[in-house]
Amino acid sequence: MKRGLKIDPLDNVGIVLEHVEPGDEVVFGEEIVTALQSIDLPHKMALKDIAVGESIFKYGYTIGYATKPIACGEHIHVHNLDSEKLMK
Amino acid sequence: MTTYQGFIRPNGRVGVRNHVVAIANCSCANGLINRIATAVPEIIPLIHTYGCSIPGEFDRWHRILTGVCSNPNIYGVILVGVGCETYDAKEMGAHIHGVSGMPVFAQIVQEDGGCEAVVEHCVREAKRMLEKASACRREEAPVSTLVLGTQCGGSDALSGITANPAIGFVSDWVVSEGGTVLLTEMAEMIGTEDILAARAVNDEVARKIRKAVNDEEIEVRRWMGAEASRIIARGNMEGGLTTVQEKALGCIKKGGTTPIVDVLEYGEGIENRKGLVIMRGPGYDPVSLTGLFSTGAQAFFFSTGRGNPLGFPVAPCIKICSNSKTYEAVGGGRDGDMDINAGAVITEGLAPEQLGEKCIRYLLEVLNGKQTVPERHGLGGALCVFQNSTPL
Repeated sequence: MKRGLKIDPLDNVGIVLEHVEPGDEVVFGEEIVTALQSIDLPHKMALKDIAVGESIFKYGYTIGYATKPIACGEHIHVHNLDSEKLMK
Repeated sequence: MTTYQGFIRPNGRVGVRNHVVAIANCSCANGLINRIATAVPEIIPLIHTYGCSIPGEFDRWHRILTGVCSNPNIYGVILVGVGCETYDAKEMGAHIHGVSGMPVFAQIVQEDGGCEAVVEHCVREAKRMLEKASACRREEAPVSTLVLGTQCGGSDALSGITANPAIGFVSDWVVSEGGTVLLTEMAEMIGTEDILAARAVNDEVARKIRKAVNDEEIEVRRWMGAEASRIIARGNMEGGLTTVQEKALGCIKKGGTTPIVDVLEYGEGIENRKGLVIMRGPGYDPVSLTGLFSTGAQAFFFSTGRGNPLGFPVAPCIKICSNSKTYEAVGGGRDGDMDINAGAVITEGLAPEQLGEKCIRYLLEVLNGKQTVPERHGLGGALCVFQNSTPL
């Protein structure tokens, strides 16, 4: 089991607290999510399936939206998350 | 009431350091400042690139030069003008003395015999000032006299989870003691304006907060276009931060949980404000620290995830690292670049409250004279002033 952190109950992403490889089980409080990709600490991992355009929550607030479909356990970063449309 | 030992200045403000500085009224005099500092190594040269020929910046420069030189960490000022610049150095000197009551020795190259004579006069006066400064003794002062500047630079995704909440813990304590905390870096508040406005003491401050964040967001869009959400550095992204809103939610943790009492312009004097105050300014760390110092900060708490080594020439800057990997990578506990490792919350199971208490104890030691890592290692850097206009 690898360690993860889910900051707020509303969040649909968590942070991995150690490097994870595909197939690793990562504990986020009471949730256990299987990593689909190699992810470095302290990057984000999806805790559920997220559709294109859906908001991504961290700290209980939106930090942007998915620009691609994201599967539970995938790495979330600049390739699938943006907030450009939220900007003035 | 908690107290520390500081230098009580003629205007009642309290310094935590006792420096004599040399500064150019206009950057054309920087060469003389270097000469004076070489001859008298105990003084601190404040090198900068301002003072003339930037029409949009004259008021700001007047404010910053006054604010920086009046900061109670400074015992006295050697101010050198060339003569042809925007403000008269001797009038500036008299103004700074009027605001702070501190000794100011101003010289003008074109009036006082040319560069060699001015260097000679300034070296003589600097030695005299140092002698008087060394006679100053620390006296007991309440933490309510403290203005703590907060900053995060080279953040990573753990900054908002370990180091910034620890600074927030310190901020809440300083405010509970009747002191003042400054939160800044407007670009790193984008997306958090609702959270911050809800913490304002009244509607007027809430409006000021929304305007300050809104103005910054428009500026970011103007410069960055479609990349506006990526106003974060390469190192931030490698550290796991993806959008500016994500970075901002971590940044504002430094301000703790108390009400926001006012919003100041960049470098504007703090006067008698107590509590948590926002200072408008950029996220770029050296520029931000200069503004905070000018506003009145005597000390900084500075978090970093990537290991930014920056300090400030005339104020202690406590470096707190968000993660143990970086902490070790920049020297760890072997006289490394960081004062405190907040990564211990993750790697050693240190409770966040224990880390917060440790930070408060460390801050008190620093206020009493203990050198921070950037001070010990001489990592003060230059005086970088916010500039929003073109030199002509």
